[in-house]
Amino acid sequence: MARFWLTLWLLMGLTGLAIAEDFDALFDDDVFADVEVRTQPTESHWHWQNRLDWQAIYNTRRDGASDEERAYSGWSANRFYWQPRLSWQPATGVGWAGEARLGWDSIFTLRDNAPWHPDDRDTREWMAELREFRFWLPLGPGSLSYGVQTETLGLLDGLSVLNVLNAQDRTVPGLASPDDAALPNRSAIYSTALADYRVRTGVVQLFYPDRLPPAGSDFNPGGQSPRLVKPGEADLGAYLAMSRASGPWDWQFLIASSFDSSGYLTVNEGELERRFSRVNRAGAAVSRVQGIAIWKAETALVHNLEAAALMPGPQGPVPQGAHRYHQWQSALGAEWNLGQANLVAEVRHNQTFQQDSELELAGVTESSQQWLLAMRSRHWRERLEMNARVFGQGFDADSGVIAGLGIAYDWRDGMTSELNWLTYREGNLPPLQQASGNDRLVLSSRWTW
Amino acid sequence: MKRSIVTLVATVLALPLAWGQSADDIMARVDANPEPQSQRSTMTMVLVDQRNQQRVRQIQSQQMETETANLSLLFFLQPADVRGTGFLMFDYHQPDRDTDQWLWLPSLGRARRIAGSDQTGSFMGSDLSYADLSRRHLEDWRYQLLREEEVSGEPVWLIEATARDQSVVDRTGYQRSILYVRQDIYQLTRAVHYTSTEGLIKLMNIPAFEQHGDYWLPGEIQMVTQRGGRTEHRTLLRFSERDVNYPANPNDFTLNRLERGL
Repeated sequence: MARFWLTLWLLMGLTGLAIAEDFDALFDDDVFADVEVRTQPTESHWHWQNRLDWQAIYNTRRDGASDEERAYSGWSANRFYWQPRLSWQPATGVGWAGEARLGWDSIFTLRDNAPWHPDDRDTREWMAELREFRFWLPLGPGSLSYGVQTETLGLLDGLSVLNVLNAQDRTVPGLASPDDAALPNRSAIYSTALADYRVRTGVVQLFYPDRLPPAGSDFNPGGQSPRLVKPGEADLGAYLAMSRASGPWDWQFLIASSFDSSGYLTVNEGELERRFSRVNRAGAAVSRVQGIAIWKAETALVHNLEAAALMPGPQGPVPQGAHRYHQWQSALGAEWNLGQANLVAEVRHNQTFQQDSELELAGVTESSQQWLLAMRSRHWRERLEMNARVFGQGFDADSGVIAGLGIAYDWRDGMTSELNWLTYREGNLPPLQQASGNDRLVLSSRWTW
Repeated sequence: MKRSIVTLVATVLALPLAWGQSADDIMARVDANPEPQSQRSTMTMVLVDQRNQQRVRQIQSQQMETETANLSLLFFLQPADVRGTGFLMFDYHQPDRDTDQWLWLPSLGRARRIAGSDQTGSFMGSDLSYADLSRRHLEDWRYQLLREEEVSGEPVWLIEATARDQSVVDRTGYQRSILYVRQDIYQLTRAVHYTSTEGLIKLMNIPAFEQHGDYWLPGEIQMVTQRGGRTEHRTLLRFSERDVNYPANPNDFTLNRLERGL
């Protein structure tokens, strides 16, 4: 009998060893005892948020830099921004939001003896702008939003041919991501659904041009600030966009009439002017999800672009008159979601109709290409982010390249520091012609609360 | 004597059956637990690293079950720098159909489609993966009943779940899991997940359930990542202001709704 119980005990023990481990020891009842969870009471209708930004730019002079570029080597910017935001939202679909940006660049104090250009100083030393000031409410079967706001169209991120409603901030070429670079305009946007389509239509009531490096800054050291000839307030822009998501496919169709925010240079009564042409655009975009990839394509017919040739003369540039032209613009892109990393590749082609010698003089080529490669990877539970991007003008690198490497670290919730290195290779792109003498190191920190 | 030993071995090996239910029966019962047709809540997620530094994410969440998919709409309330960011997801019941996902960034003013990524990746830096938040398909795993135990005074079954094939491992990141199933309510209360990375395990713990009508729902989910027995990172997910079976409308889970924002 004793042998029977011994055998049973051995068998039970062996069976238990084979199928079980001491899992309970893995669990500690107090593992979260040190964590206090503060769940917020019901959200207030009012929300107040602040953001402080600091950004410093260091120019690392390259061999071959011009004398003007040498003058800006070393620290060329030390900016502080305060960006408060207040919003009121009594119910879903109804609300008001206002966000301002107030900035100061202390480099003009720190390097008081440097040869700062008055235009550069006027533009950068003190800055105040509205980033958002709008209200929204339900209207009929849809929703109306009116005020200073941003509207992004198209499906591609970097080289979209449809995302034309908002001007871009290009003061530090290659630094800002597409969503940070968009400058809001004043518009009224109505969105609704029509069968399976999302419909967005709007009018742009106040036009903003692209923000370019001011004359006399380190990105435009020898330049002259053109006078901006803005379209009047009566010259509205308008658009209609219809979108549909169907399984893995996304579609978008767009017609828009708006001013080209990049503009063109001309001379009027001896003064350099930047003018803006009204451009009509009809286009479509499609994307398809396939596993970890999204494939994207956009195409548009663009009518009424303008360019002006400036011939050098003894008294300065002589205008040759503005020429209208039309283009077929198209872009292809793909984005791969690799879990901790994202990879984006995009290419854009512009084809000019009825190209002639006068357009050639104005710098408009029969065809032009741009391409973009960008990669972003996140580590340490999304505390650390590394990114790399290359933007090229033309398929051959000789037409100009902007390349950047960046690293960002989250010290805590809402507090991030970032270091970016930017290098420019001179080419056809106007900012590159001015910027290529120096590489830039950009340090920045952001605190949001 | 030989016959006695054979009988004894057979008896010992058949012990799980003697408990009345097989592991497959129990897991089928767990899978058949009723789930609300809709629910909304505020989720607070606390991420704790090795140095005890905490990061907090707070999310307004709505979910709705339809015949074809589980629809989710999330908006971030915290941290401040991502407040208003929205996420719309259609998680289809068909196992071979990819999840549709869109992200709304207020600064961009546009909903962006996101490709289905590696589901084993971390959900917003937490210890939960996207696969942890998706429904587990019963047929993807082989189950074996290990033993009975008590957790916090409640009797539980310990069940080992082993991935049926490599595709399941690739999709979930787990080779096998030890599941603790409460016997009174057929709910998973603890789990030990063995990842495909050697020595890396994830411990899931649900300390308490809340009863909402016919439904038992976790009030809190704890997840701990350990490597070689050492805790690397912890996540606490707590639900508050939960509203179960509220009158949800499929029109509240559309791109138009996502683009209206928080």
